[in-house]
Amino acid sequence: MLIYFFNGLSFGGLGLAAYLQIRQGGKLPLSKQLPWLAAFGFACGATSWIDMFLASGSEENYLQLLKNLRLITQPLSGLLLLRFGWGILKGLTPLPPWTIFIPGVLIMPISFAVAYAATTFVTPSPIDIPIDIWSRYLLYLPGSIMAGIGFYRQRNVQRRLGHYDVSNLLLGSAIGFLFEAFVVGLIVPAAPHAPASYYNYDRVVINPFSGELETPTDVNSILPPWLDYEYVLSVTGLPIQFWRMLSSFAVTFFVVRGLGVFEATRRRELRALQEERDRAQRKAFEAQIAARQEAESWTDFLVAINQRLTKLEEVDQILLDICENARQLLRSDFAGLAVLDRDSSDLYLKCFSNWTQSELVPSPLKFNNPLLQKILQSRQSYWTNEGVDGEPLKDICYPPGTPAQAVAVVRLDFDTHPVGVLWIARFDHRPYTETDLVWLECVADQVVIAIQHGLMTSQLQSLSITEERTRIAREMHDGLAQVLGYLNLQVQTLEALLNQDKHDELRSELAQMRKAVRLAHADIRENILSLRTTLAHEGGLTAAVGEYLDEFGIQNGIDARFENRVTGELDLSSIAEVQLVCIMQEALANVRKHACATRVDVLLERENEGEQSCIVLQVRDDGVGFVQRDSKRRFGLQTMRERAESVQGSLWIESAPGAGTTVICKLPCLKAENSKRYSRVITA
Amino acid sequence: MNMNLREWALPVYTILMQLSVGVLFLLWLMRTRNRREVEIQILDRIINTPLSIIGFTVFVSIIGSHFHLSRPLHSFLAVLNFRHSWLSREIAFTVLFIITLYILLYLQGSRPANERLRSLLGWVSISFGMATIYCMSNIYLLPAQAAWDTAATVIAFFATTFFLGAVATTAMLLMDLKYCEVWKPEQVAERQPVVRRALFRLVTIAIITLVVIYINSYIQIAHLRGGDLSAQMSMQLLTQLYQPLFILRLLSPLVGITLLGVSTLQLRSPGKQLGELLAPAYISCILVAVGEILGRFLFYATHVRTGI
Repeated sequence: MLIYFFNGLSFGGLGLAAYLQIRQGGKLPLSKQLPWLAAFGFACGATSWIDMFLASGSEENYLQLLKNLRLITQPLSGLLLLRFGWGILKGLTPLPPWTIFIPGVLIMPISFAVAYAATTFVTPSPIDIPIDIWSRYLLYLPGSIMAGIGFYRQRNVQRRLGHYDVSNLLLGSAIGFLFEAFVVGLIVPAAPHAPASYYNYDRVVINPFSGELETPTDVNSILPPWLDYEYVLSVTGLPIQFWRMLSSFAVTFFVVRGLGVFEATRRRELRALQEERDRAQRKAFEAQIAARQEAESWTDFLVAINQRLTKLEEVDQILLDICENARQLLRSDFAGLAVLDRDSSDLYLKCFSNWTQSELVPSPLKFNNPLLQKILQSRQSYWTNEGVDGEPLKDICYPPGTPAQAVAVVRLDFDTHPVGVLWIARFDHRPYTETDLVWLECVADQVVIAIQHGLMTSQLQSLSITEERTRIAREMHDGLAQVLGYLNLQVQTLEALLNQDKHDELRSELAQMRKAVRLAHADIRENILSLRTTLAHEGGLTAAVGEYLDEFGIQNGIDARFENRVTGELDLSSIAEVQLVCIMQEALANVRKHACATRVDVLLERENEGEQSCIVLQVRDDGVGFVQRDSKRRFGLQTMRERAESVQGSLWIESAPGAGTTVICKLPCLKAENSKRYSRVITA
Repeated sequence: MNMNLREWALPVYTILMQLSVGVLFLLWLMRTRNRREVEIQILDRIINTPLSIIGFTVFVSIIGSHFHLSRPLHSFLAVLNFRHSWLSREIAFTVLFIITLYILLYLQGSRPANERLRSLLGWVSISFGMATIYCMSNIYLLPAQAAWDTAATVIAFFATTFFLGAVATTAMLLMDLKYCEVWKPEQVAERQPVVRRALFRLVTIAIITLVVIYINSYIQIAHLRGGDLSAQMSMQLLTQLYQPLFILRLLSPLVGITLLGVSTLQLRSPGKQLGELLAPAYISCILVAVGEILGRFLFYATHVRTGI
């Protein structure tokens, strides 16, 4: 009774554990099979406890009920075990292809076994004996074997995954089920039919169908009687029920323990996976930030180059900066820029940058590296991370020294004509990528733009010089030449008056001549002052304006004052600065010529209109003023307005007779972020 | 009746031989009927695995039959009485059936092979198989045995042949299709229409044969009721001692065919796949086979004092 009790308790526990596992909703590989395991545990536990009550000798009424109940629960538990075994055998990992044919091959053997089993029910033995026997043979035995093999296969899987604790428990489960297959599925009660009769023939001597006595030796002499209950008892000293209880304990212990450890392992793995995912996310985030920072650096660099081009800075210096920035941004040890000579035959090193120096090459240095020449002739950009023909490149850097392991070269194309090459190199084995090459091509584009810009600037300078000479010639023709012509005529007049002794008229003419000479002198001095005032002043535009005003005041006897309210840089483009100075000079010339003023104030200030800021120039005098409708096409005002509008600025005049004149010019500054970026890059 | 397992060798042989002949006949019928619509190579790919299974089944049945013999090594001597004995004829035709079947299997597996020769050989093999079944049934037409000595015995043997053949062919075709779905998916598309069409015909054949079996059983019982003393005794055994088995023998194939029929009809509903029919086909095959084996058991058991 105790054995049956513990047996039932064990299987009930197995069912309960499986049920709780289902409720937890874990992600076990055998979770789909757990309902079958739980049902098997409960059904098998119920059968054992029915056996317990039957062994206790319950009342007659209940006895029959329990017997009938057992006729249902025992095959039912066997069926559930069979289903669980089949599920765990095929469900966990893919079976080999030939196993698809196993059920088909087994159809006829199973059919024969079932048909034969059915025939044994018509023997005189009680019906519970064949049900017990065939439940064991047809259900428990294959079910336990399949479950054992299934757990063993799962054990191999877990072992390959490195889950040794789980795999050991699964091996225990497999052994437990195989042991159960032996003690529960193969050892059956004594019965008067095969195969049970084969090994308990000594206790079956009556033919079940004919009722005739059977000679024991005729039945079978091959198999010894070692699989029946009595023989197990006589050999082990313990009844078969004990061994079955042991098998149920083994199965329950290993399966329940295995479920727990498996779940714990899975959770541990999940945690590890989660941590790994977090790490990967962090890395991805950091990589994103790094990529963004790099992209920003590149943008800043490109914007700064454009700013400097706009400001008409020296091209060579810009090229050197491009070279240095390319080396830094592409994390290289060397960057070089070489250009072709006039007949496009030889390459000359223009500038280079390495860790210790970034320099323009002062005198032409021929740099005919074979690799660079090859790239120059081809249209393809090129990069190598293993040297050329497996050998590091020795002479591709300047000054020659450390050989380069990785090199990227881009040809500089000016209207599809090659003008030079830009290249970067690394001395260690860090490889260049295609992205690096793309960036280098961007830099190469900037180099070409800078060169183009330099050429255009020099052309513009030539044009400006020609234009300035024309202007000076015109000024001389309109001013000095006219005065000199006038003076020539006057001298002839003076000579005539002197010959006629008309001294009074002579004095009068002399006074007029003196006035004309004084005016001509003033014009000449102003022209000289204008020509002397350049923006290449060390102190910048404001200092140049201040000096110009000082000179203007001294030359013309006008109290000229300059007030600069702008803090920091003016943030004007170089063209706008030139136009601003020209407008101021024109306004001051008008003051000198027409205003009869004793004082002139020049004011520079910044004015913000939303996001756009402007520089405002005011030139105010205390002269005679004029009526504004007469000002059109006079006093060079139209020229001043056109100058302002050419740089998206505006100009207007406030004046009235006797109230002085104020010329106001407003020119837009460069965009704030561009200006800041430019400053940052320059600082870096 | 003795429950010595040696006696079970006889039903093993007869049932497996009937199954093999039935499957071969139906497969060859399917091959012949579809050859105008479907490429012969596709049809051969469909039937080759079931044919191989038949080859194995025949081999097992022959081995099983030798367990029934007292001196298995002298079994070939039975052929010597061909002119007088149905048993000798049965053995002779069995041997011819086996030889032609294995040649056919060889030709099916080798390329190129003469298609007409193969087709002819298939029908020849089927003829030998049918002759084997006929001889097998005629062995039991003994005037002294009232339970056996009727035309119903011959009908019962052929009905079992077609019945088992239809259900087993269904299971084999589906099993092979399942194999293809997993391991040769490129062949599934070409096979599915042929198998689907064959399924409905096979189930129809199985249903018709089952009706024949029931009618034949009724005729046999009626014959026994009106027969002599030995017939009465056989009837008594059938209705008393073996009544549960007799009921099981009648019900089991009915349940099996109902299951297969319903599952096959469900194929017409959208979304239903052929692969889903495999488990019902297996269960149906087992139920039908159990019914037929029990029928054979009862056939021998109701023959008083002889048989298993």
